[in-house]
Amino acid sequence: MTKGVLMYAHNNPEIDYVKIACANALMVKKNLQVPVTLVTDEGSISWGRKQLTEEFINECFEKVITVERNANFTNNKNCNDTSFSSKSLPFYNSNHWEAYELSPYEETLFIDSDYLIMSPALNNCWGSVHDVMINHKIYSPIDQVLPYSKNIDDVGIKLYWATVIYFRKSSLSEHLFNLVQHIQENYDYYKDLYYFSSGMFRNDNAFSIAIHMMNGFNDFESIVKELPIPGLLMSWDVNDIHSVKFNDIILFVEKPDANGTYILSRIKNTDVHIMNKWAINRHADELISIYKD
Amino acid sequence: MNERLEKALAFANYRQTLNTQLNKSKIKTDALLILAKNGGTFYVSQDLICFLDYLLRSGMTRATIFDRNKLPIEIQDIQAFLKEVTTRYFEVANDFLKEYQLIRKSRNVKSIMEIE
Repeated sequence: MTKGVLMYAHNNPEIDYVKIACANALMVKKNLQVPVTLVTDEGSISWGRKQLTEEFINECFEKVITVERNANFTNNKNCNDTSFSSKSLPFYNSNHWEAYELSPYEETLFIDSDYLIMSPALNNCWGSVHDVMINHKIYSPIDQVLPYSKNIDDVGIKLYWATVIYFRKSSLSEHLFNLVQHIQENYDYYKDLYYFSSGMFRNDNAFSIAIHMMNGFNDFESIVKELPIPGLLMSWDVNDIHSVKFNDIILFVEKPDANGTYILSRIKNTDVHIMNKWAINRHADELISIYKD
Repeated sequence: MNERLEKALAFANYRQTLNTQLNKSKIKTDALLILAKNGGTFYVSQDLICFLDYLLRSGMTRATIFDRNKLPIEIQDIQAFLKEVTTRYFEVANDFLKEYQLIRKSRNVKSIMEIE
């Protein structure tokens, strides 16, 4: 049975997602020992080939799938580079539902390019009896509690994080991704129905609604199980990276309710979602040189 | 800021760093204690070790047991699985002990972070 990791990378004027994906692909190869496929667009990959060379891109990815970028899709996101800098940037995330069709693998770990793989923990997914696994538990580097769940709104359904999705080719997974497509195409309707305020399209919300629908419109016994990890470690975009080593990152983590003041946090042998894309971009070359053979 | 207050705040910083670091170590340990077997995932614990040992002592060589998602998973060779589970338990526990001692002994943020 073929297995591998699938990542998306669509650059915007400020963030080089292809470069981040390259660094992470090398991290995946070191820690999970599986091939990686990249889904991107012509503009992003051309820039990547120019900056990083075609040879290097081929070294990182087993396959590069180029898709058409939907020019009509506009989705701006407020991105922070710590609390001191914030910008509204285009965030192209409208095609994640295509992952089911695009993945060349029978078993796929579909991860965000900024979810840095620094441990073999996700290798426990392969060969699972579950067709789809997504986490609803998260924690942050500053937390002093165990991983916890959130809801999509104060009175909303359980929030699943589309940062990491395991799926095998099966009718159940296909239904889920088809539902996500439908929810995305009718996002305004579902936004009102599920009562959440954010105008920006979020795959987390679309997957949460799709799972809720597939569960027979309840949150109790989910058809989608948790990934074999206690929770996703989320470093929010108000944090910054202090330094990187092999499977070892030290972060400046902003103290809650104290903007601009930080404590240090060391992440070792644990996968981490770095939401501050500028911070990864600043350290991408270093990560590449650490993980490159 | 007077010196006494500065020291108190530095200590608060140190305690916060120490506590968050310990919390992350515990969660990492939890991740390492998850073991995949025959399509299921098991949380390696003293309970699981005792249960498998009980099955063996009862003369069972194979059994269907529930995994962490409450799914029935067939274990064909309980003895081999018990060995795998026990080995993982001690590997993870010993690694955690080393990390725990290092964090607990650290008297400042620099040493918690192991920054030279």
